[in-house]
Amino acid sequence: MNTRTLLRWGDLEERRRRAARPVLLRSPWLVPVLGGAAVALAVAALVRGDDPDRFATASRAWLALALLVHTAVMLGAPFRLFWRHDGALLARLPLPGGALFDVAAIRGARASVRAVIVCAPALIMFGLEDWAWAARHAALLGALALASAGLVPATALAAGGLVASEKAQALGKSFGGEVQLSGTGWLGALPGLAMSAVVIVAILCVPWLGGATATAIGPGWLVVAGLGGAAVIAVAMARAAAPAVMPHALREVVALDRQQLAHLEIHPPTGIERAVARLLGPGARLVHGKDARLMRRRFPLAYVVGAVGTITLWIMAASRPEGLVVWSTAVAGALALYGVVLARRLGEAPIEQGITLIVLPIDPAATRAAKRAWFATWLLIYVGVGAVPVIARASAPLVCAAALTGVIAVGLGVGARAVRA
Amino acid sequence: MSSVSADSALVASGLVVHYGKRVAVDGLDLTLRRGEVVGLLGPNGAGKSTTLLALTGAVQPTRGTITVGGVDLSRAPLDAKRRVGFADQPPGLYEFFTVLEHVQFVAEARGETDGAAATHLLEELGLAGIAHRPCRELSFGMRQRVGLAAALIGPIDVVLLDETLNGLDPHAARAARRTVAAAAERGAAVLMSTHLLGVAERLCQRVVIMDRGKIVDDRTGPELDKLVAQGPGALEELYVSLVADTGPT
Repeated sequence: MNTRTLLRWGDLEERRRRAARPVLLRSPWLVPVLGGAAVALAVAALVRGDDPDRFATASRAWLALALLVHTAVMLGAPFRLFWRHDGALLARLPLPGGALFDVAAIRGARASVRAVIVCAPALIMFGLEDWAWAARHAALLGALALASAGLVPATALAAGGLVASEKAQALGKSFGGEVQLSGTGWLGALPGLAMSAVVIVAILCVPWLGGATATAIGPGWLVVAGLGGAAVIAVAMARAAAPAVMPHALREVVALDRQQLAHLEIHPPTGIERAVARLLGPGARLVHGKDARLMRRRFPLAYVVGAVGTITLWIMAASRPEGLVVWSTAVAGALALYGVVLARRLGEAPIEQGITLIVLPIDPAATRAAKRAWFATWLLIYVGVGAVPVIARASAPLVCAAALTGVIAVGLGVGARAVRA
Repeated sequence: MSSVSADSALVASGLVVHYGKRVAVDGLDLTLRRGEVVGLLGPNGAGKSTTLLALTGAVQPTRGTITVGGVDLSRAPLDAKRRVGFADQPPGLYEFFTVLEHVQFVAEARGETDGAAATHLLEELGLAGIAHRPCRELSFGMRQRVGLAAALIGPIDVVLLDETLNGLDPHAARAARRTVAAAAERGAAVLMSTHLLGVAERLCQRVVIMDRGKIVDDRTGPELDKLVAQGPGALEELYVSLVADTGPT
């Protein structure tokens, strides 16, 4: 089987899966197109305002959104390569590593194109004001797309190679000290590092996007070209290594996940989770206690991500960067978006087992209440606690409070709807 | 219609379940009496699992009524569900719970007041040694046994088992049969779907055979004893004579 036939079978299965979804989600392109139109209208409104800083505000808002959608694409890289729902089947079949990598890379490229579709129409609005200004944003968008389609998948493949390498695992254990990655932990850690580097480089480009000749780390065009070039080189190197690395890495990742060799910490609910549970009725309390324990065990990263988000907001409050409201709103929005993903996870295996819960004498309304309580607690603690000093230190506290409260309120509303019970 | 008496633990009348245009269960009448173990036999796709899911309240019947201990499942679902234990196929376990935590969670949901009940049941089923192991680490047979424990825990009147005794090693199968029989002796009605005709012959006081959503045979007491007394394979001969080998539909 070659890349073309593997992709054709995969696309057929994907179309069948999508056919069962709501109309809006059946085509993977409809939501990005609608999103792109909405973003373009929002940017147009910002650019045509009376605020003397309107161009800078529009630029930062656009960059925050571009980083958000490309972060989502980059986060998916290890899932497209290794953690696919059909990974166990693919690992058993005699498929060439090159084809496996190509299919994942093509899916990644499609996801990047969708992210570009969300961001690109807004550049027309920039172009109507100043074509050079629009060109700089377009160049950064291209570099982000290349990085999310090439650089991060390449690091994900390298991480897969580490997972499959006994020597690398032993070396990691000898240097890890107190902090030890689980067998497949590299698949999150390495692409995460690459993703962080991409985001930092993009943020360092803010002065250049605003009209300066240089970024904080060098001439603007050179930095952007360097980011794109690094992505192209990385993906070419990964493609060359894929035939040897990919089948072995996929087999090892699937085996580790299947055999459940990662150590499981058995933690009880925290004091805060117990306090929230006491506010709920008996049925909801029981489900909340279960969810709190299972989320902590299955998704420990949710607490790390939440804490990193809170600390980021605190650092912003302490340093008071230019555009504090926009950046803090973007961080809070990203956290809220992640929270919505967690809210959906609350209704899926392994946190929930449909039949097991349905046949128990627990009111579905109590189940929903329990899951919403867990999600609301997570969001209010990590975003709410992070937002307080930001509001206190903002030059326009009321505007900042309105923006952050709005993000939390929208997050709570969307998350409450995302909870399935 | 099913006969209703004081010793009826579960009564299903005129049960019909449609999946779209397909009729999975077609006018099923079934009464389970307290203390009896009933084997539910039938080919793949006969409607056995759908019947069990409908009896637990997990699937909404298109028509018909179900009462558990006199409580209407559609009118008072929580009261009815409190009396029913169900082992799904494959058993839906909370993978990141330990075995003990999973069974304790189910016990608490069913209102079990004895805090040590889960521990005792795990000992009875030979699962004490893995009580503190996460469910995700369990083998197929162990998962079946944990599913059985979760079905049996709590103050239940009805136990529904969907091929739960399949895939067990001989020791585990013996322990499971004993535990199921003990639950029946305590007054629970047990309905177990199975393809293991030998298990049905040994464990069940009544055998119901389904085909294409309908009950095609229901025999109990002397009638079943007479059949079993004919020797190994008699039940299989009856089954083959009643159920056409048409493959899945």
